Amino acid sequence: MHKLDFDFRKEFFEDIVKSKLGYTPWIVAAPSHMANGLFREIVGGYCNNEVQHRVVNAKTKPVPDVNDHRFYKKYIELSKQQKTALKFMQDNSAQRQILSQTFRADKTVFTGVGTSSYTLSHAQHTTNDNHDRDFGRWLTHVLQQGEKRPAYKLLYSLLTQGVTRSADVPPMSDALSLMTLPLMQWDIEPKQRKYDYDLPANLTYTTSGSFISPLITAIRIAFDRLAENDHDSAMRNGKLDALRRMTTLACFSFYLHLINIGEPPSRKLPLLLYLERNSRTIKRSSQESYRLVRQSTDRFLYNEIRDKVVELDAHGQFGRWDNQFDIQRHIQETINWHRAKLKVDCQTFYDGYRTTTNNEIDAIAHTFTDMVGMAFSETPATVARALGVKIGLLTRGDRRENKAYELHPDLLEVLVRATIPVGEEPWSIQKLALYWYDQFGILFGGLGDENQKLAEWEIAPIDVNELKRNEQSLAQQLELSGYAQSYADGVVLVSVKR
Amino acid sequence: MDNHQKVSLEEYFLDLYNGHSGIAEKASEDNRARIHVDTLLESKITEWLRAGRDVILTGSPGDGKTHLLQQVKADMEQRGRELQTEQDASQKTGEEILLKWKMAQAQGMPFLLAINHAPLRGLAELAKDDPQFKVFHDAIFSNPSKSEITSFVLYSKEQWVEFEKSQQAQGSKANALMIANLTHRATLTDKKFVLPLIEKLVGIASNMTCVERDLPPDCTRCPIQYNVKALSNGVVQKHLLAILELVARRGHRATVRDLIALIVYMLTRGVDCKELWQEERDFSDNSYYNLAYDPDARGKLFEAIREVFDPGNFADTAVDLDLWNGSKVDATWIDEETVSQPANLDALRSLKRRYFFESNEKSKVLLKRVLSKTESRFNDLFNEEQDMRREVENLVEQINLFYAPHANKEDYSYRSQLRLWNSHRYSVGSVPGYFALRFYSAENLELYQPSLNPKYENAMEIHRDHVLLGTRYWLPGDPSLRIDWEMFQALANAANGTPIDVQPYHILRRLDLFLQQLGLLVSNYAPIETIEWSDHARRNVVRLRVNRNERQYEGGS
Repeated sequence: MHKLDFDFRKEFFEDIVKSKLGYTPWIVAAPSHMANGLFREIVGGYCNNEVQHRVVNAKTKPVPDVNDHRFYKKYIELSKQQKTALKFMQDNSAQRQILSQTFRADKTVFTGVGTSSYTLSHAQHTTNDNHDRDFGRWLTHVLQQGEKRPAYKLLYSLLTQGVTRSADVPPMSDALSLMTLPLMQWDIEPKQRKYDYDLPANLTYTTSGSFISPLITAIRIAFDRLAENDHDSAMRNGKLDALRRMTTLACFSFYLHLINIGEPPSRKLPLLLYLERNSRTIKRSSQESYRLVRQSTDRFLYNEIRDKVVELDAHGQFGRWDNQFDIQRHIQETINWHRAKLKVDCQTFYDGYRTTTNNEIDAIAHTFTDMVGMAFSETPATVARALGVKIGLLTRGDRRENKAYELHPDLLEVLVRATIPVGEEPWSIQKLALYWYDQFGILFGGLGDENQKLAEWEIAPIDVNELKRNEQSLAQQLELSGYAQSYADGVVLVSVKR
Repeated sequence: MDNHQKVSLEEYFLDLYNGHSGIAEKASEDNRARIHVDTLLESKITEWLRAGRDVILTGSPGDGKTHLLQQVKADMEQRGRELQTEQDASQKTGEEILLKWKMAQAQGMPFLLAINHAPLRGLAELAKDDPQFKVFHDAIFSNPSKSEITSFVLYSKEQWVEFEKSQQAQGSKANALMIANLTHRATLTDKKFVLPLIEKLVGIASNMTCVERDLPPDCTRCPIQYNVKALSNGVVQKHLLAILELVARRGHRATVRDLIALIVYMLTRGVDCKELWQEERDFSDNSYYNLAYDPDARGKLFEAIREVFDPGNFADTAVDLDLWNGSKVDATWIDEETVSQPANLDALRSLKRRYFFESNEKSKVLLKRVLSKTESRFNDLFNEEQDMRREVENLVEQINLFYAPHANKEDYSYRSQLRLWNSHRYSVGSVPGYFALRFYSAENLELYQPSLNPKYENAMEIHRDHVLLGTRYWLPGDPSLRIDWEMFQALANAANGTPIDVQPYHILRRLDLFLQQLGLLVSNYAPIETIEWSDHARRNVVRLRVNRNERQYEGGS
């Protein structure tokens, strides 16, 4: 390896997250990106249907003229049905608007089909867009494990619905799939995405088939329970609702997995829900619990980067990494920064850390951890934050570091459906609180020892009356959504209607 | 009655506002009897017990379970009938209660239990494996069509038939247990209960005599005696009942304890003469019509009354000017021939309140003048003589317009077909519009009124604040939409142009859930599919037809 071949971005971040996480969180993604990535993996490939894209993308004409060289060549090869459909859409702008608006509802459709993610509902709508940064692949692996895999099977069945009734494949039952039916390209095999790295060790499972990681086990259980609760309605006319819930749970799982990367498997970061708007102490402590995310992801990066520096030092590939002279040489000469400013920043950070520690490896590991935030437009913490806001887990509007945890009714519904197993007696709110804390780290009241739990994370205590009101607020939301019934003495029973 | 006893009674009475005296366990038998109102429920419970049935009184704290239990117990004992009772269920373990119940059964005595909802469930859970209590356990935990607790209030005939079948299947044992859920009692609207209660409380207040040495120097006219006179008056009572009915219809529930607190406060402000005049209050501040809206009065019922209807805040164009000018209006003023012209807006507000209570006009007429049309239409839903088919169609149309406000209102199909509207977006936030692929025929929907399970022999009037829009032959678990005031108002607002984005989110969620449930009942296949798109950005409704077999679009411009 020559000087400047040592790419900072690759060596100190990309390789690390690929091997440790199995996905690469360095660009902001929306839930529709996650849906596209997940559904593409579930059905085993993507379509990149350009015919459909001509209709959905408002900036192009469905039927190309001869000057539109690129698409015109493809157009003349299309089936008669597809050509007729494009002509129909060209002539009927109001009808075209239906497709255009529904498929662009998440605002993730761009000029190129391969860089767009639709608000999709069928395998035929999937694209090669990689905004999900391989999370779909990772999650599909989680859902595919074992013989009994209700979530995987349900998703596969919904996404591969056929056109008409047949004994093997159920027919399309949702408006979105039907809207695009004449534009679909059934004769083309889905294309496989290529991955340049293996699945990570965090997906290891035991001989009995269960995951070693308690968090991944919790994610898998949540998906399976959600699928079992949704199965009947999804197979009737509730397909879109089921896809939405699965996607929301996928995003929540992404958030949960990502924020806990710096923690040992037995610990989960607390997610203190701020539901009662006038609760000053809950808001403050919820914000504090949110700030732990950055600490956790930084801790993960720091540990991994430090290990990498120690390894480099041990191998002596570019000389030593344990003294000021060599480290400065690496900063100035060995590392390819791509941007001169980063080199200057790195030197400044390093000088700063040297004043606080005598250990050169610690100083450069801290420096490189900070540099990840400079070299990439996004860090794991900011990617998690953006997705958290878009699924209604984090408050909108507040400043970046002042976010608190909330629970949009859609997300609340998903979590309840992903919690209570089919056929079980209604749960008390206390049972729900205990389960959510154990599985996801969620706190909202109902346990009685919330302050003790928060104290373990050095989070300031909450007023117990505020906590009671917070719990009541959740109960009220559940009741308004038809998932709970309140009785006297504050008893709330939570159940899922199937 | 000696002086000491008189003070005790006064203290007891005044403290009813604070709720402490209202707790039956703490009241002496004498005092409890003074505020007791005979009700049909009480005699029915006695009848059931005399027939050897066990009776459970359940509900929320303050619903009057213990009070009822004590009255019934005293009555039974007076008649020489033995029974076992348990009124302090919260202080006993489940095992202790079940043991007592078993002993009563062994001795052939009926058992009367007063217990809140939560411990009742715990008790039934505890009795799960005891064959002697199987009926009790099933009454709480069996499926909703059979459960005694969920079937206490019924909506459809089919629900009654199902319930009856399950009772027959259990044989005589099922009939040996009655579970009266007092939460459903129409505490605010049952005239046979509210009016005698007012009379009782007025009776106590009228005997409250002033001790001259304690009187404040400014006291020349006694507001308590004025309030007594007013609340004894049939006109005032009638108008007060109208307000309470309005409060109940809006979904506010009140316990007997809440109602007693309200009346005591309207009579006395919950204090004695000496305190009445403190804090620079004048006679009008201590008058019943202002005390009902006193911002210092604590309690959910007071809050509900203030929120739902304060005559002082509503414009009544028929009389407001006359009241302001001091002109004659059609009212029989309590204790006065005429009233003086209000000096300022506060005084006018106070006079408007007084006018509402003392007006000679019918409450309905007064309310109709000041409340919105939506309110009257909502009240019409409870009138069983209404054309219910038309009401169903109205609601179907309103739900359709909620999602598709720009739909052609002349199109009858919006009244006859409930579109199963849906939207699709993976991030939270507003959607560009709604689409409908399927519909549910309005012919297959019914409006159901809540009614007391006939097993309970009309023992009490039940609280009615909603009707149910449900599928034909409705049973618990079938699709239904609760049409309460909030839902009705949201639908009416939508029909008048309120956009979906500013509607309360839980209303949208309830509607979504209802439409999703209906989706389970309709086919998911048609050879030619029609997708209706309500475009909120372009404010129009467009249809797209797709032929599955031909894989092509149909129609178009």
